[in-house]
Amino acid sequence: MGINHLRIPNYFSLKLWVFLFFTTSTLFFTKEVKGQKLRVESSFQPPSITISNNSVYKIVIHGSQENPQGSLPQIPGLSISNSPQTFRSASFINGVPSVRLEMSFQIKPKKLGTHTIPSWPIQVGSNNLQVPPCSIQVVAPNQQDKIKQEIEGKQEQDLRQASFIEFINPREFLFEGETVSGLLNLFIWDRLPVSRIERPPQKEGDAFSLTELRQPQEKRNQTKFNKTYTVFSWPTGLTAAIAGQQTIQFNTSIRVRVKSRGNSPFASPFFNDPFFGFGREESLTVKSDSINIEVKALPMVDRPDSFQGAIGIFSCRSVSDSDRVSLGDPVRLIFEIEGKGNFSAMPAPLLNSGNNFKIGPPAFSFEGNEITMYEGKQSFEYILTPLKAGLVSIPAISFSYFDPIQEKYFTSKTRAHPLRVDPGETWVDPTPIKQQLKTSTYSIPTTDLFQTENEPGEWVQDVKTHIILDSKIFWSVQTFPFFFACGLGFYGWKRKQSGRDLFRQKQANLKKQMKESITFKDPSLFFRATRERLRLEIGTFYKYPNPSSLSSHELTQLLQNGSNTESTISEIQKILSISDDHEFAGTLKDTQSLDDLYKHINKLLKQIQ
Amino acid sequence: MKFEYILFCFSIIFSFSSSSLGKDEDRLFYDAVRAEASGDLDQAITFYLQASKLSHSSNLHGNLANLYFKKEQFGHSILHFRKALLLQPNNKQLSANLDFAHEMAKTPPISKNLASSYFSGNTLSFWCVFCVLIFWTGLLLLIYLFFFRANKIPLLYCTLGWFLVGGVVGYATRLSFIANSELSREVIAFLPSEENNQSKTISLRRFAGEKNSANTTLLPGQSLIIDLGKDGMNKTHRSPEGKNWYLARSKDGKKKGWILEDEFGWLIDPKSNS
Repeated sequence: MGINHLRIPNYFSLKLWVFLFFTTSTLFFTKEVKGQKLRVESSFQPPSITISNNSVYKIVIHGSQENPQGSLPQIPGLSISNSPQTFRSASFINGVPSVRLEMSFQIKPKKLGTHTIPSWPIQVGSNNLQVPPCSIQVVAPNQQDKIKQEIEGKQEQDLRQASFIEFINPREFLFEGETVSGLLNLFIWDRLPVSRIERPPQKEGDAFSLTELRQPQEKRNQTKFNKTYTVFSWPTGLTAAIAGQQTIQFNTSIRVRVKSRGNSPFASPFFNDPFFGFGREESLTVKSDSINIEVKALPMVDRPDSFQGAIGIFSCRSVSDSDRVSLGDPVRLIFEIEGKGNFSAMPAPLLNSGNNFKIGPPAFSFEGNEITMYEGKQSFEYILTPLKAGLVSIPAISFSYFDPIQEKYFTSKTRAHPLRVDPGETWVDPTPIKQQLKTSTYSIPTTDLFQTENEPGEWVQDVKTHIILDSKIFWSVQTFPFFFACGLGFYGWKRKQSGRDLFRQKQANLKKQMKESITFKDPSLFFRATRERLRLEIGTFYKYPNPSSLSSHELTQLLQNGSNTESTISEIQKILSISDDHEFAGTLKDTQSLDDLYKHINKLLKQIQ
Repeated sequence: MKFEYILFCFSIIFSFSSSSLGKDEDRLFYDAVRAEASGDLDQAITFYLQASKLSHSSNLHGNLANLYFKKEQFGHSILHFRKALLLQPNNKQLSANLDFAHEMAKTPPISKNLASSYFSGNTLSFWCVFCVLIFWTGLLLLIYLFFFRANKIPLLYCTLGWFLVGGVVGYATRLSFIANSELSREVIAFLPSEENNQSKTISLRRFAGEKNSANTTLLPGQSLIIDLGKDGMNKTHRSPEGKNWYLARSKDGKKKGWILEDEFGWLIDPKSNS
C-alpha cells in the first residue's frame, strides 16, 4: 500500500503537466489569433490537367478554424465533389501565432478548356468573406490517358454486363390505365461471385405501377454478349398511371464477394481473383437501362356510359344458379369477364334491377395469374333477393371496355335471365296439394315460358271444338256399312233357302258321322258315311241331279270325265272298293287306321277337278 | 283454248280471294306484336282483342294470355290460355304457361288424371268413330256367322264379346260427350275491371241481383259450368237493368250461384255453338 501511494502522485503529476501545457497553448493561440486578420485563398492543385486526370480545388481560410458557410458555384465543364476534405492547422510564424482551415474539393473535368470558378461569398463566424476567383486549364489527353480511358471504359462495360436488368415490354406505347404483362430479367454473369439477391427489382418513377414480384424463375446457361448468364425472371403486370412521355428504370442490389487486395490490375475488385471465395462481401446495385414509354390518354370520343376503366380484350357472360325460386329466396348471379387486360383496376359492373330485387355487394374472385392479374377470368358474384312474385327478369349487364389494339370502345351485354318467383307457401287443402305438385312438374324450363309468337298461325272461325257427330260426312259414311249389312243378311237368308245349304248340312252330318265312327272305332259306320260322302261331293261337284243314286262305277266315270289325275281316280276307286267290300262282304282288308283314312279322303276330295 | 283461258281466270280469282282471307286479322296480329315489342302492352292487348273478333288462332290467344299475365290479370290470362289450348291441345308450352298462371292466381289447375284426359271433350270424335267401328264390325261378323256358318258356337262367343266391347266403348263415348257438353258451357271467372288486386274475389250470388248477398266467392281464373234449364238451354236471367245473369257451379259442384255476364269469359262462344 505504501508503494502504491508513492507512485500515484508521480503519474498524476506527468499527466497534469501535459494537460496544463496544451490548455495554456490553446488559450494562448486563441487569445493571440484574435488579433489576426481573416483572409481567404483559393487555388487548383495542379492548375493544369489533362481531361482524364483529376485536380483539387483548395480553399484556405487564414485566421480562423471555424467551419465556413457558403454555397460553391457549379461550373458546367467541371464536376465538383460535395464532400470536401477539411484540414485545420496552427503555427507560429516569426513568433506570431497563426491558425488556418483548408478545404479540398475533388475536381473532375468534363471538357477541354479553361474553367474559372468565380468569386463567391463565404461566412466564417460573423464575418463575410469573398473567395477569390480561380482558374484551371484542361488540356487534351495524352496517349497514356487514352489507354487508361479505354481500360476504364472496358471495365465499366464489363461491370455493366456482369449483371444487369432487362425489362421486356410487349407494347410500343400504352394507354393510361392499361396493364401489360411484362418480364423482368436479372442477368448475372456466371463468373460474378454472387452470394444472394438482396431484394427483387424495384421501379424508379411514379408514372407506372407494378404488381408484386414474388419468387423468380431461374434459368441457367443463358448466353448473351458472348457471356454465360444465370437469369432470374419475374413476370409482372405494368400499369401506366400518368399520360405523357414517361421513363421507367429498374434497380436491385445483389451481394457479391470481392477480394481483399487493393492492387488489382483493374480498378474493379471483382475480376481475375482466383481467391474470391475468401474475400469480403459487398452490396452491388444493378440497374436497367432507362426505358422510354409513351403513355397515351384514353380517347373521349364514343366513350360509353358504362365504361369504368377496363382496358384490354374481354368477353363476358352471366350465369344464374336458378330459374325458379320462392319469394324471398336468394338467387346467385355470377358475372364473368374473361380475357386479357387490367383486371386489377376493374370495378364490379353496376346491376340495375329496379324494384324487383334487393342486391347485395358482389364478391370478387380471380382465376388466372394472380401475380400479374393480366390474363384470366374475373368473377363477380351477386346475391339477389326477389321482392315480388311472378315472372321477373334478372336484367342484362352492360360491360364496356377499351380495346388498346383496335383503339376503340366496345360494349358487351349479357342476356337477361327470366326468373320464376313462386308466391311462397300458403295453406290449402292437403288433398289437392298432391295433385298440384304432380301437375306442376312439367319439363319446360322457366326461360321458355311466356314467349311471344311472331306469326299468327292457322286462323279458324271459332274456338269451338269440331265434333264428328256434327259432320254430315260421318253420317253419310254410315250408310255404307248399313247397306252392306242389309245385303249380307238378305244374301244369307236367300242362301239358306237354296240347296247349297242343304248340301253343306249333309256334308257336315257325314263328316260328323265319320268323326264319331273314328271315336267309337266303328268301321262299318265309317265306310258307309265315306261312301255317302263321296257320292254327295263328287255328284254335287259334277252337278249330277241325284248324287245318292250313283254307283261306284258311275262315280269313277264322272271322275274320268273330269280332268283328274289317274292316281286320284285310282285312290278313290280303292276307297270305294273297300267301302263296298266292308258293306257287302263284312271284311276289312286294309289295315290302314280310320283316322289316317279320314284325312286321306279329305285330301282326295279337295283334289277333284 | 277458250276452255284453258276460262280456267286460268278462275284460278286467278280463286287465289286472290283465298289470299284476302285473314288479311285484317293478320294485320292486327302483327300490329299487336309490334306494340308489344315497343312495350305498349295495353295497345297490344287492344289489337289482339280486335283480331279475335274477326278470327281465332292458338298463337293469338297464347300471346294475349301472356300479356294479361304480365299485367297480372290472371283470370283473363287463364281464359285465353285455355282457348289457345282448345285450338292446339298438344302444345306443351301453353300447358306449362297455364299451370304457372294457375299457380300465380292460386287457383286449382286443370286436373290431368287418366279419366279426364282419355274421356275429355276433345276425345269425343275418337270415341264416336271407335264406337261406330265396333258396332258395324260386330254386326257384320254376327250376320256372317249366323247365315254362313253351320257351327253356332262362334256365333255365341262373338255375340257376347260384341255386347261387352260395345258397352265399354259406348260408356266412354257417353263420358266424353258429357265432358264436351260441359266444355261448351265452361266459363272462366275474372274481375270485370282492369284492377290487378289479387285479393279481390268474384261473388256467386244467391239470386240474380247485384245487391244480393254472395253464396260463395271465387278467385279470378276459376272455372265454372253454366247450368242448363229445363228447356236444355243455359239458365239465364235478365235483370230490369238489362244485365244478363247466369246460374253457374264449379266443376266439383261445391260452389254454386248467379254470376253476372261481365264477370266471366266463355271458353267457347255460345253463339258459335248455336
